[in-house]
Amino acid sequence: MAKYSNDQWMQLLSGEPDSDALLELRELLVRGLRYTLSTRVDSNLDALVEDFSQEALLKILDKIDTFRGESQFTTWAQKIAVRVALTELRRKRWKDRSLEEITTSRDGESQMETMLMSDSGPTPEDRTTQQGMMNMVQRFIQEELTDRQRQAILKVMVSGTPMDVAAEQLGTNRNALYKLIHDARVRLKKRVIKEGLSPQDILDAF
Amino acid sequence: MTKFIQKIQQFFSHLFGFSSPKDPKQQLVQGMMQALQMTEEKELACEDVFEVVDQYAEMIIRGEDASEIMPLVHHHLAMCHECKDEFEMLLEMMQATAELTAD
Repeated sequence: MAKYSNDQWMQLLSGEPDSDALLELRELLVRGLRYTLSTRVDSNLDALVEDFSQEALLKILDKIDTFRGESQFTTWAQKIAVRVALTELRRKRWKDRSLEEITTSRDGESQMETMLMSDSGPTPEDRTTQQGMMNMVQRFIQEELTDRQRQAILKVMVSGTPMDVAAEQLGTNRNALYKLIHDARVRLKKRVIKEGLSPQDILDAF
Repeated sequence: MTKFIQKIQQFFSHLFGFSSPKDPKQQLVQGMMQALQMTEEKELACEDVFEVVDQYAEMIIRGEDASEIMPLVHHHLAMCHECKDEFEMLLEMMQATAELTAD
């Protein structure tokens, strides 16, 4: 396989891509994806590798002007292929969950939604018991977080929905969803500290 | 490096261990508190990390202390299951293709 410098890759693939360079890049992606996906998928490996390589190639060519040369071009291209492959795999796996997994996930989310979205009224909060600690954290979640933050937490932390999928369901993207949940974590941590506790104090109750 | 990945894997399998038969409320509270322990006021988001994860991975391959050089990336990878998976797969892919294309 030819070993091009970053500048050579850029020259060969910018504008009308050089067909040999394109083949070299495709071969690199196919080999890398085949190796890494072989332990991650149970069936259709060849078809998935072909699909992901093709989609990644298109993305790489589309974004090539954003490559700043701060890593090897091949590493930069591979990170795009990895993002393409794992995003698709996570979506597919979530869509193909068993009926039992779907039911369990929905029941958990529904049960927690009722708890987190509604004002449950006064509940005993004994800081020495698990139940008391859970009631207190429930109150913090109700008082500190927005509805959207609670929805995001339900999807990601209770249902186990992958971030990409949860973001789609909430009409946002993974980056914004991470920020939303980060803001929720910061708010809750401040509240826990304001109450004279630490997250470890609460964990110690379990 | 393997220890680092195992440590992160253990943390996340615990944090996101949804196969556990625990009460969902208890599961959420424990998972949330574990996440709060690691929560920092300033954290990178997924796209910030995606921008530099190729440089971060190359540092690891060169044997440099990437967590010291890019602590915010290191922290994000410990917090974000999806980004951690992508980082690990990128490392595997780099190692696999380096072997395959070696002179």
